[in-house]
Amino acid sequence: MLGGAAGGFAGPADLDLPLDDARLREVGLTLGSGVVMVHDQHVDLVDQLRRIAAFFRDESCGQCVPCRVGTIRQEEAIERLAAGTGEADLSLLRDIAGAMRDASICGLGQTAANAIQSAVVRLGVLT
Amino acid sequence: MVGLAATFGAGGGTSSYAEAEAADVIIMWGSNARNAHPIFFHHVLTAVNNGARLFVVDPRRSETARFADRWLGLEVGTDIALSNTIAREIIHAGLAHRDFIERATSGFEEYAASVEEWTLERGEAVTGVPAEAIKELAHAYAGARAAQLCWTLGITEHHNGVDNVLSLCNLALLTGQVGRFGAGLTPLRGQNNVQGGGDMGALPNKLPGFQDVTDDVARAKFDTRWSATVPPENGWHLTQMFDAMERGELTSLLVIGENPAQSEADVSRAIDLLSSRDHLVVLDIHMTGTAELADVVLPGSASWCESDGTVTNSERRVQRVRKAINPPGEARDDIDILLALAARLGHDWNYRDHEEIWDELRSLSPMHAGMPWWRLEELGGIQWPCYSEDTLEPPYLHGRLWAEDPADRGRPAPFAVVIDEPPVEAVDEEFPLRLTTGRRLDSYNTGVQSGGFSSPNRAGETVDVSPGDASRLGVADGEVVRVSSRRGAVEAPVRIDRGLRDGLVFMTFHFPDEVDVNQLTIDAVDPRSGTAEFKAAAVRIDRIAATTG
Amino acid sequence: MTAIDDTRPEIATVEAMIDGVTVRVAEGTTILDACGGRGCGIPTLCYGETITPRNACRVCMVEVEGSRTLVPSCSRPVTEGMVVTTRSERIDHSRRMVLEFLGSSVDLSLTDHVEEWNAEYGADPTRYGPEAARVDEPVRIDNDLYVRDYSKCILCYQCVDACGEQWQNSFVIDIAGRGFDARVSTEHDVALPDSGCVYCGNCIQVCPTGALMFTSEYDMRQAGTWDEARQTQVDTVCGYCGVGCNLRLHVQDDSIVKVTSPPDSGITSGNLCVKGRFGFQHAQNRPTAD
Repeated sequence: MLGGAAGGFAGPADLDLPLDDARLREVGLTLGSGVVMVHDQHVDLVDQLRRIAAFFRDESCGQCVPCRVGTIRQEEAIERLAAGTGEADLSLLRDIAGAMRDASICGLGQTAANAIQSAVVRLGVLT
Repeated sequence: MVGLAATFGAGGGTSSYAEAEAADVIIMWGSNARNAHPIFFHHVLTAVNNGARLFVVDPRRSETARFADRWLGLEVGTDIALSNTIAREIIHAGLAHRDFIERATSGFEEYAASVEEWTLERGEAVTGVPAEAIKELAHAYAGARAAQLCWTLGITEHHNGVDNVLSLCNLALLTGQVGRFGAGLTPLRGQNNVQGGGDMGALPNKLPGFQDVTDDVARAKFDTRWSATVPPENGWHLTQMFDAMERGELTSLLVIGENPAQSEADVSRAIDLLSSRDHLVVLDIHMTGTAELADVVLPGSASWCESDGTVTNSERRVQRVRKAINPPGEARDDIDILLALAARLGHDWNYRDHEEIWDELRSLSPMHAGMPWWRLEELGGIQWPCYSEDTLEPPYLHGRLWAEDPADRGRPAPFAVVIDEPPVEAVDEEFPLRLTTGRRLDSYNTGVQSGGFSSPNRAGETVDVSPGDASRLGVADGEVVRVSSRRGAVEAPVRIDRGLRDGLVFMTFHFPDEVDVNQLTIDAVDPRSGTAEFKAAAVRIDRIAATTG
Repeated sequence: MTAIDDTRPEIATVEAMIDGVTVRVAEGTTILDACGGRGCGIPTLCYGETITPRNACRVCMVEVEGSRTLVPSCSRPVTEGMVVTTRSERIDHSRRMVLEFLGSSVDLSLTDHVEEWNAEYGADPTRYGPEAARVDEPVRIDNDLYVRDYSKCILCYQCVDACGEQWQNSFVIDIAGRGFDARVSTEHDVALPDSGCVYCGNCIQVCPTGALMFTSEYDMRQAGTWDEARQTQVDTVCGYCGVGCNLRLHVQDDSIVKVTSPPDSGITSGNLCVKGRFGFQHAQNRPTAD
């Protein structure tokens, strides 16, 4: 994962990407805070996503609706997907992500879905 | 109103509320608007939040004073001393508005001479306000682009209330803070239609439209319209009526919507006199203390929600009141009652509706001529004067004083030489505490109307004392004590108020059935206004335990 | 020496494009006002006629060319050359989500227009399932004048601002807590009678969801007798002090059931004091002869 909780997951196919912000942005990733977190096949990525979702829900200040409610809805959806009880939740996650990204007041809400969406889309986690 | 009328020829505040928002200096003098006129105070706060400076002149560090940049805690009854000191400082600092004084006023030289003895040192000695605070207010007021000077009963409820008002008018004339947008003199009226009542001629010396009873030309208009002969002399104001009752000259009385058996100073006297009338009729919406004394009670309407008509507020704005509900039971519209009385007295006043009465008024009162009901509704209220249906005057009065052409300026506004006089009743060894009275947020006057809703903040009457006095008297917060004056005594629990200086105590008249504070107050009246010195009586406080056994 | 100086500075204007139409408005006009203000078709919740909005609800968002995120139309001033779009897939999606977020977490049953907006934007608050976290606060009845039901609160900040610097300057309430646990609160969450509340009711008037409600209305709704269809509104002037505030009396069956103040009143701007707001009751408590 590049850039911390607000960043994104790069998969096996991306290993040759240079750590250059402009190049990364072209493929929808970011250097962010500069964190590079390496995961091997033993890491439970679903659990990682749960922790990321919990982190954003906890850090939300609560001022604006998309983030205050969106982060907890995101967390709930990931719990359901992790437990195998959510069918429509992937599209729900995507809807939540779009609203938070477009309508939150600050960067926290705007990036709260980044890592999760990149894991779903690039790595197929939770699918 | 008497003071404003004497100075400017019109008995009304000079400015609209919105102009307070445009002022850069606001003085609240003898006004606790935060509690007594909260929505006017919103306009003041808008100005303050935009950077305006607020000065509050009040013996108590009141709720209003807490918002002030500077609070001037003067001794009760030293307003003229303070005002004259401010004036002298303005003159000596070269801040007097020479051009305005020359073009728009008269009597400056005499006035300036009269304030010459009021040095900052003398002002401080008499008022108790630090000299540098007086100086700061003086410079701020004189140097303001636009300043509002607001006052209410703290100024007028004195034996020299009219002089107090004149002393404030003097300051506005000295500095040119009148007659233009944002600058003015704002008396905050106590009741929702006391302004309108006076404007409609419910004054012993005025016909409707603020025209003098003694003005033959004006009176002739009314004689013609009413097919009657209006007596050419002034009548009695309320205090003169009580004096006339005492002499035996006034034997019958109709009281409409007033509760003098609980609101008069030295109220025992008032009750005695009212009780001994040959015939007392009370027209009211509740069985007030006065109604209890009446021979006949006529149940009337709560006009603001049970009748159609107009009222006038402190910014001279005439607004429509509208009927929303019906009066209960046998209560009738006040106007119906008056028409019925008139008919019994041999005058058949035939009005189609209330609007017709208003149209008659407009035909006789030039300052209301341009405000028919439809226009009041269209514009949401209109300030007087409004002389015709297709014109409106500026929101402020007396712009004429600034006219380029002297012919357009009208009568110059006179400075008034006013002499500092302490309150009629001095404190002394027997009655060593100064009692000043006022109001609280949740209650209204004698509490008849406001007693009808339950407010969590209303705690009943208390005698508010300073921490120092409480300690000296050995009384605790909540302890019931006896408060007495030369005229009477009441019992009330103590409430310690850090906003009071030692020697000053505060009570209200909101709970007369439980604590009849007007038993204590003195009926020392300003003969020109008829208002009593509710703000200054001498009292003592005794522990109940100490006086029993 | 100049006479009366009534001149106001000339107001500058800006030109922009909204939905393909060129408009010219005074500098400082918000996008929402340029579109016609409240009721122009753009949904609003935290925007009040008398309150400068915090743009916290995020339902009024629009697209502004060059902006990475959507922009709150209630607060963003129109600037020269701005290009604004008020409906698009991205905008509609965002509005739908905000409505769903709120509808799934609080009780919007008394909020104006929500039903029609849900229909217009296809919002389905139930899609988060029965386990979705909700704001479940017990109704607070700690005085005789008004009721607080925070399970209806959308945290629009209007009550805080009405009580705060924008109008009343009493500062009795603010938001306590953070995230989903944020709630409007008095200091230390004390009961209203123990707080600095002066019962002016200005917060009640600006609340868009009925989270703050007059006791008179609350009791009638509980009893099933509140019927707005049978109510008339009569504008008059308060019977207390000399300020002369405009009152809007809400009357049902020849009885005043609540008092508001016209938001466009130049005297009150929709605000009253405790006497104007609640002091009408004496008029209706006069005993008749029996």
